Amino acid sequence: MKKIEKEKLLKHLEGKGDLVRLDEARQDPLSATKSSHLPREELLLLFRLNGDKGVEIRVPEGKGGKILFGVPPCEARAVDLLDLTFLKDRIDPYYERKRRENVLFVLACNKPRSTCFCTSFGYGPFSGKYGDVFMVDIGDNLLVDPVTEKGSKALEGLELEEATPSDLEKMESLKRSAEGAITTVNIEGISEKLKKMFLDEIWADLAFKCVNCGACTYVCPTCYCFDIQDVERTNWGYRERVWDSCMFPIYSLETSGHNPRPTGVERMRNRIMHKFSYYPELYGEYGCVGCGRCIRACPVNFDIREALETLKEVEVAA
Amino acid sequence: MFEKLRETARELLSKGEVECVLGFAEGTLPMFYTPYLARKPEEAEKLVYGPFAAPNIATYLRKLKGKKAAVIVRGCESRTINLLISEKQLNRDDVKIIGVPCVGALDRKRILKDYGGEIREARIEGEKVIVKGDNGEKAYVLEEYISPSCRSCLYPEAIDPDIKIEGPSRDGEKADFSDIERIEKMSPAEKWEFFEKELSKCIRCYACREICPMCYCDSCFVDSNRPVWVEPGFDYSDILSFHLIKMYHMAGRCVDCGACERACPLGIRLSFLTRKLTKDMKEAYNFVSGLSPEEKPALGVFSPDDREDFIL
Ligand code: SF4
Ligand code: SF4
Ligand code: SF4
Ligand code: SF4
Ligand code: SF4
Repeated sequence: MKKIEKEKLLKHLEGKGDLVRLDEARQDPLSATKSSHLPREELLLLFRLNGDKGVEIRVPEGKGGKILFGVPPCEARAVDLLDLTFLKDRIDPYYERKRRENVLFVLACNKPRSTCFCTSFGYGPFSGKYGDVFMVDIGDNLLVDPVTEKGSKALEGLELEEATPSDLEKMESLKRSAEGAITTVNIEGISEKLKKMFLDEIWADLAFKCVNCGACTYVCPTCYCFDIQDVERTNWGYRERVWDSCMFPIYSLETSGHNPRPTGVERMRNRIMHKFSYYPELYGEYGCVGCGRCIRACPVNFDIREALETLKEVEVAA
Repeated sequence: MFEKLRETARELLSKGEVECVLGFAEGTLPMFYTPYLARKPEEAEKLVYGPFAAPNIATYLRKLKGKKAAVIVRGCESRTINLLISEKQLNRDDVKIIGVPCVGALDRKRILKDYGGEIREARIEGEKVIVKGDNGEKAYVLEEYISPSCRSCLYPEAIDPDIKIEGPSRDGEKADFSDIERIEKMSPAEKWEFFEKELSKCIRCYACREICPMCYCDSCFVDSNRPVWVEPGFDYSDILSFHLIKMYHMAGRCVDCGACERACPLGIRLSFLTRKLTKDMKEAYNFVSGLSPEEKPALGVFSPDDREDFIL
């Protein structure tokens, strides 16, 4: 690993793109990492009725990329999960551009929060394999390690010092204390078990206190559901994509009036199933990174860790 | 300290007088009680009440339709029940009302903000909230961190409960609307700027709507897409429309419990709106919502003596 003073690195990044300081915004309820790839409102195209020429359509050009400085490892991992939806089977050009242009400077978490449970997913607050550059704040300096080619390029032209053994030792001790502060939820086998639990009665109990708002899914860095709407004005309009949530009643409402998820019970089941059963089934990865944002945002203290523990306890017929 | 309540709940459940007791239990986060339904006598042991309970528990009554339930309520929650009965959403005979004392609900987010670091434990000791976390132990005076709505509460204790748990409550005599008076004195331009600053943070997650016990419509105007009343994006005019129309629907129906404000993940001060409603209803019609189940909805009745001077 190399090292550099934080101020020097920030100075170097100036003018290379919109600098978003996540290192100073860790307490923000919304994940800027997600919003920088999947904004809550995104213009897809503009249309206009132009006399005899008929309808003109214009696709707006994207703005330049962002430098996300201080992304927590969980949120960088969450972007990798978004890739599975937006880049794997079909490419979403709006997402793809931002993904290509944004540079993620990941910062290890020296002080995990009480709601963090990332270690439940086979990685942790010091995992250095996410984003483009991995950084550790060892006090006087940042240890930096490029993860991708994009990351190496972003560091080009900087004079980096070699990290000393004592720097690395400092990192190790920070890592140990951070990892030690996190409570791991043992989720082994949960996805297989959930497959057999679709009709279980536990969902009604689990969903009781949930009021079905959009808070948990909106703050979740891996939730990607969106709605596409045409907004019409007199002779022009636009098509936009806005966040949506499976917790809302109209999310699954069909034109006929039928709703396959008529109550909060089915909606809560979907949220959990999507993250812990459907995602693993489709992609071999959980759709949750254990960031704990949903736990902090929920107005009624629905705690997904507790929900997982409850689900583990349920006995299902083999 | 919760012995009396737990004993009462246990008895109701074991005698089969009710199928369940609705209230709060310890949550997984500090300073946060979570809604809880006790169904077996032994589950009554989990019941708690106090400033850490953020939602308005009456919201959950709509999930208990058709069940014989007991519900543990503070003043505002009991007024909500009266409103729900007067709006034919609830039968008085289906609920047993257990009134608990109330010193106000905590504005949890303000403590989180003032403390700065991660809080890992909290407890109430007398008139203080003692928190422990990454920045060490600190004490906050409860009264200074109580929700703005609770400051002007005239009825902290449940109205006509079936069972009453005694204990110290707020002084319901002194209503404080100074925060609203400050806004009332602003010029229209200042008001506009003030509200825009606050409300433009809104992400339209609708936690404020869902947590509200009086927002029970099966189909809400914001969800309608034929016609579209409020467009789906984040244009300020749409955000404002949502909040203003919600407030129109709340006039005379809002109990100013402050649950919506405490629910907002962005920490938006919604009490500026709900408290203005409360203040105006009192001043214009001498009306306090939910004082009795027989009361007619304020905007559903007409009296020739009604004030008209504020009608444009
Ligand atoms: S479900 Fe909750 S803990 Fe999991 S990634 Fe989403 S916000 Fe984080
Ligand atoms: S949990 Fe719900 S909102 Fe989130 S991605 Fe899955 S379906 Fe969409
Ligand atoms: S934030 Fe909480 S109440 Fe809202 S939908 Fe999620 S779990 Fe339910
Ligand atoms: S809870 Fe807050 S962010 Fe969500 S819709 Fe209400 S005001 Fe907006
Ligand atoms: S609108 Fe009024 S009744 Fe509804 S949650 Fe807010 S303060 Fe309570």
